[in-house]
Amino acid sequence: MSHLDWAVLAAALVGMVAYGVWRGGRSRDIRGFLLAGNEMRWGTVAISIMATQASAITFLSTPGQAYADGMRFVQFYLGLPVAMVVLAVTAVPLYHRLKVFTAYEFLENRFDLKTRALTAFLFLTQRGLAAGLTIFAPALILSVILGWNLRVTIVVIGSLVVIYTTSGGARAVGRTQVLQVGIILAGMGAAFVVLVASLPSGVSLLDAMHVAGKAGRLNAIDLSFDLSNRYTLWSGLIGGTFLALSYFGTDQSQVQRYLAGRSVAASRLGLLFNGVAKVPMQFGILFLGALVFAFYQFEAPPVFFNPVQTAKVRASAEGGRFAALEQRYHELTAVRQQRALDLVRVMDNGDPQARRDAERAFVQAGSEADATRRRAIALIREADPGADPSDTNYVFLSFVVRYLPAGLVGLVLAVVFAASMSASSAELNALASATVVDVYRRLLDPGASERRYLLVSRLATIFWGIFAIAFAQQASRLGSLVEAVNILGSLFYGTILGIFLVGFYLRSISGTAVFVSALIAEAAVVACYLLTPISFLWYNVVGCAFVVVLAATCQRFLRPRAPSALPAGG
Amino acid sequence: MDDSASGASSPSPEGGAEGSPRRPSPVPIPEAREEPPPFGGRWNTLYAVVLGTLAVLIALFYAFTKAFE
Repeated sequence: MSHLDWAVLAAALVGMVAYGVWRGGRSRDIRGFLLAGNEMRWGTVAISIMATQASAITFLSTPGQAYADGMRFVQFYLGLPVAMVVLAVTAVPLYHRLKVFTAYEFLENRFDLKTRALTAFLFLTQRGLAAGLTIFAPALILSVILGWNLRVTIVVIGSLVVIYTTSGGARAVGRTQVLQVGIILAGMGAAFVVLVASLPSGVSLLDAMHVAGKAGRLNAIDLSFDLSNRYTLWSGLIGGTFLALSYFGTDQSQVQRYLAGRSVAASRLGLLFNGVAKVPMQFGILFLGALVFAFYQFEAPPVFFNPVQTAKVRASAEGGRFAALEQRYHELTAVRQQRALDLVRVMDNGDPQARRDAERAFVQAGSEADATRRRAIALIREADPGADPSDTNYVFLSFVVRYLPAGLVGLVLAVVFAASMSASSAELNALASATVVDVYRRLLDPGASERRYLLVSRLATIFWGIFAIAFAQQASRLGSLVEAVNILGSLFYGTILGIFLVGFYLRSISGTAVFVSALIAEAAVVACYLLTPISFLWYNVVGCAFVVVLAATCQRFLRPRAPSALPAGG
Repeated sequence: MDDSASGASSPSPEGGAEGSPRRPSPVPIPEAREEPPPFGGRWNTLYAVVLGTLAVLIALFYAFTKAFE
């Protein structure tokens, strides 16, 4: 990194923290601290919702995902717009009417205290761990690229977030997210422009897309119906809708963002904007990854993108064998480069047979290079059995450091920090809310003063910051981070969504029936994860369906219950 | 905003739902005034725009996949 990169990165970091502390102001009560005094405009709500979901993992791991597996991951997001509409119709007016701080307060109104406590506990567990991953991702990248100590880097990043989140609460989170999204858009836009400009002369953007497509990297839609296939149109539309309903409707880190809206209209518009913008945004990030793949068809990529792991195997007893494989890989990628250029050339001359031959030769050269890369990865595992065989998280940043000009490297690193800080600050703010409102104020100290609750809110923010930092220290062997986060969420979200759906729509079902059903459903989801090949998006359907069906069944054996006095959603 | 009106600190009979008579909500729930959206005329129009955009995106992504496979 050049001095200019360091200056850009330092300016962005100091600016974000200072801006957060300044715009956060001083809250006088917990409604100000936890819900920004319900004063957010719809545009701020919309940006806050998007920035909370899009962490550094989104910008680092997603392009790598497209590099390794193509763009089919975009289908994961196809249920999101449907969920945004459902929540805008049902949950938003209901939460506003109840004037709740957390989504889990609704459950006590509707069911009972134990159901509220169980759901808040599931949220605190899942989100506390996820906050650790959110901090871990950029720390890992920095430690690998700059050679910093990973543990120290995690502590530094986590501490920066804790400073302004503890100081300004939800107002600081929301205002800073607007600045952070600006940095993210600038950095990713600049990376895209440089990437396209870096293609070899004679290779246009369209040519690069054809090359990526022939290698199966532009596979955005898969119509097959296969429960073990992770990303298809159907798993995205069905499983993805359930996941998004649960995440945006019941996860406090998101509910808190739109509860901070100044009106029902502000909250609804925030969600609906996300419904329109999120899928194209993810498509754009994946497309960037697919273009990085195309770029490396004309350049020599490293055989493995994690430089730390590569250095380890070179220094081991397997170093000689690894060097031979690297040499072989470079020879094969040189052949692949020539085949890619041949393909581009015949694409322009219009001869169908020559084109088919060139495609076949290019795919064959790619297969041979990939086979050698797999052997190199196997050797890395042989030399270090604890090594992570996935280098997905390093692909994009490896490209950035190697090919972007001075200044832009610092800007892209600032993107990574901005995204991580925006997501983790919202998570810490939400964890503090659930801790104070659902645990401390409800169970431990119901009659305390506002000042005391405000103090406990700040202490809870610090506690969860430390918890997240501690978990981040253990998170280095989870493979693709973006998948790890989503798998973790899917283990809990279906059950939580089932509880809320029963609360919203099945008004004759009691708290005990839904509580017992939720415990059984969670056990069933964990069993699916441990014992079956079912893809994780379907866990959301399984957990939700178990809760709804079992609760309805249990209720038949309990005494009938009069319908809740609460209004149904909508 | 009155925090006590949130219901968070209102005691609720734990597990007392089964067979209990119709339990009044712990807090009075005012009906929210249905605000029109600041643009687009009606909320249903905006919902249709979101779902229509999704349908168009899926069609475009499918065409994109087929064009480059």
